[in-house]
Amino acid sequence: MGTDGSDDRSAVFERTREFVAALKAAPPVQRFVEAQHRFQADPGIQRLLADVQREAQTFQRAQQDGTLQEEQIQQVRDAQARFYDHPLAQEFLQARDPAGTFLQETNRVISEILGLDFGQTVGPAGGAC
Amino acid sequence: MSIAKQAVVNGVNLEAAALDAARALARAVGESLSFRAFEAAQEALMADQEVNRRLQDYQRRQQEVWFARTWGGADPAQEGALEEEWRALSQTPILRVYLRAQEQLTDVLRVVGGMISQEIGIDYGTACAPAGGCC
Repeated sequence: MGTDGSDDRSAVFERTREFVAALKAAPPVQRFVEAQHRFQADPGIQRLLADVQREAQTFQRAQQDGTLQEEQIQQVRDAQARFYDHPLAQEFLQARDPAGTFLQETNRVISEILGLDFGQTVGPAGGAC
Repeated sequence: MSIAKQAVVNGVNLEAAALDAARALARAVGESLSFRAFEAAQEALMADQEVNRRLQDYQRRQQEVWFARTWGGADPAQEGALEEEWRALSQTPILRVYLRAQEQLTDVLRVVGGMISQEIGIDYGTACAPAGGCC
């Protein structure tokens, strides 16, 4: 007691920064952050990702217009296959699950102490549907 | 100890350190004024039988309206009555205090979640959602 609101908020944010630093050092999260950096920095995989997004948009438009052809479906599949075959996509996707599992573990620990679902309270932005 | 084994031990220690940091964060949140105000408001709300009865009744009717809406058969009069009940409920002193406390706590926790998500590049709330998510 004896602290004003802004002071104890800054204590919360200070612990948050320490938690983030510790999270980033934990192997499951560290591997994911590194995989994500490689993924984002590689022009080749970014091009394949853009291909998938473009083909998917073309597909959706054609589906709405009623002009969808077998060839377009195949083009989406091919773009997806090229993307998922890339080692950086595989590394990224393989790193994601263990990182998620570890984040859930931290959420369980925090939620248990607070008696509320911390992860649900912090987001995602926009809240529930 | 072999280098590989040492790496595993270090990894386990780093995970334990992250869980300790999570506990420290939880304790800081738990000691904060906004959390304590929320807890007090929640206890007061739980203790008020009349407001609780109205809340439960409101939630039951809300589910009925949602269900009806899903099947395209929502009754506008029923929806209006429900909105009116919420307006009245949220004006009761006990619920006003609770909603305000909840909002203030959520504000702080959203900043916390944003700091975590931004640094690690995963949305923390989404990653922690139960499998399948909400929708």
